[in-house]
Amino acid sequence: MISIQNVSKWFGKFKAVDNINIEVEKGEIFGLLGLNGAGKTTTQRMVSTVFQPSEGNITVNGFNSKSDSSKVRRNIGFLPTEVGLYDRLTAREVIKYFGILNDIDESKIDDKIDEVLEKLSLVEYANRRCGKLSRGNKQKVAIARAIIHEPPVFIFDEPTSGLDVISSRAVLDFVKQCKDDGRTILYSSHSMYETEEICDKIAVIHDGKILMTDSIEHIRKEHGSLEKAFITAVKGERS
Amino acid sequence: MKDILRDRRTLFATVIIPILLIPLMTFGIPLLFSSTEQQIVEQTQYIAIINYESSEEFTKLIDGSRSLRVVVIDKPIDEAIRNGTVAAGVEIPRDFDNRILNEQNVNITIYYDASSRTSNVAYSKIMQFLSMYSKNTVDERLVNREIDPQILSPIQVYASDVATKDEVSGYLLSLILPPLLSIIVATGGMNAAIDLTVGEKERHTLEALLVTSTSRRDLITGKFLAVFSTTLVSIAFIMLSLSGSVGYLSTLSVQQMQIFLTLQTSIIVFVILSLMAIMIASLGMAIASFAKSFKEANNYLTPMLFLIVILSFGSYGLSIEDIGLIPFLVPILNVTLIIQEVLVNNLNILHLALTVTSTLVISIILISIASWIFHKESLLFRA
Repeated sequence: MISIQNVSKWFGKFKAVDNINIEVEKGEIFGLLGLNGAGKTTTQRMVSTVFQPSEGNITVNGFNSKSDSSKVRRNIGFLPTEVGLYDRLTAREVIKYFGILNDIDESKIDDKIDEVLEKLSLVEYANRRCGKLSRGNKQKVAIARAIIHEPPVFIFDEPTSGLDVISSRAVLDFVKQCKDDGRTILYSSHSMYETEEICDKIAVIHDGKILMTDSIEHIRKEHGSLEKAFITAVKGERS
Repeated sequence: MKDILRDRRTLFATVIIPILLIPLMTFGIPLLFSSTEQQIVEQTQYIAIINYESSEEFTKLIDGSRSLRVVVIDKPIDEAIRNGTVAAGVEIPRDFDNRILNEQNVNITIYYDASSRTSNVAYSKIMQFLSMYSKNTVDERLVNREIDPQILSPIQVYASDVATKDEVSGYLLSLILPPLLSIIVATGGMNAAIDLTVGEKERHTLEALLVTSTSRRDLITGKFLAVFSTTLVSIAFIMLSLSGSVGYLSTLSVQQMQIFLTLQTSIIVFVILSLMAIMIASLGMAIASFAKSFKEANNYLTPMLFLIVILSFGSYGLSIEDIGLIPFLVPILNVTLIIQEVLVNNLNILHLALTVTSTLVISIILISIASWIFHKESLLFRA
């Protein structure tokens, strides 16, 4: 579903991502695990066509991120790290705006919004301006905005960052539900616990390089826990 | 669009400023200026005459006029003028009467303060009085010799203004309004441009926008249309406010301030300003797309606003009858000149065509730059 092949990304003389390879299968939650500045966000931005790879190829659902960027975007829902909403618009207005930008038929858009609001327990906040919402509800609106066009692939960049325990749990449950609905998810985080809980496979990324790619199941067998595996991999790289 | 219309800053620039500023500029300031000027002219200025005792008649003549009053001072004339005891001073020679009687030349010095409005008015009044006094003296001498004083004026000049009342009022309007309109249109457009480009970066909404199915070209076009529409709203308020001010002004019988604005000229001004709005929207988009923050965008756009002001006021030094074609290729200046032509009922189609063409070409270049920046990740996401 997502194929990242020999991809590197340069910003001037700085190599943010260094020759990485990742394959994400349909219906899988794939975690990108790494410290801040490891290259997770840059990788996700390249998959979502915000950035173009300096080297290598990325395909999403068979579409190349360079030559078929608009088709790639039709197939993904991207939740960036920063919530970024229009404070002066209501939750419903924001979701509708992004629905229209994602080519949803205007006659069906209100029903779709109601569906998403229900799914994310946002119904009572639908007509409230985003600037007045709590951090957790803002994140839910950002998720609704990202998935309103029902793409097969979701890209979540640290979706629980800055959220309280209750809101984090709601987001994690929603991600699991997405997997149950058959979505493919590229999920980045620096939290070992949530990655271990929801991901099927992970890649440990450090200084732009992939240090390890494996299934959670196998990692547990080999190292006991994801945290131990991560520390071993990063320490090994540093030494 | 809905978002920027809910932005107080944009609303202030597009609606409140035109509503408040246009009436203030079109009729408040000229009225204030006119009434202050009128007050000074109508007031009696106190002046001193050095050696006044040498000509009681001359002193009485000045003192007898309603607009000047002669006072005696006990300090040097320049000091008396500076501290406001008198507005001006006239120094006449000690043998003034004798020289006049003997038909000799008389040297008179006027002391005044060029930096003081009151002193300048007093100077003008003294000059007027001396000119009249001099003419009367000459006439008297000629009559004594049995010569008709008309002999000194072989040519009598009568000025007849061929401009209609509309043209005169339009000219007055054309001096005040074009720079003002340009600045208001620019301010409204720039605010919306900043909000929709660099504002998206600061709110972190840009990334979410870029991953929608909509192409970047369509996104920038949509933003441009939103900025343009906002500016059009601003222009509509400007025209409404202008019509209101002019309508109110026409009910006042203030001489030399009768201003005339027809529906036809209003429409042409609206269209010309809309053209300028396209260019301002493109300029704002190009610059604000490049900026990393509101602050940086303002740093770039503030000098642009100064440039717009300078170009707008550039029309002051030009006479629209004989300026050639080059000024109609200069952005902003050409719009200002066309508005002037419209208001004095002297629109030149070639000038209009040049203005439209140059404004559209510049707009296309600027919007292409903005679009290029939107496609260039190293510029759009500058670190």
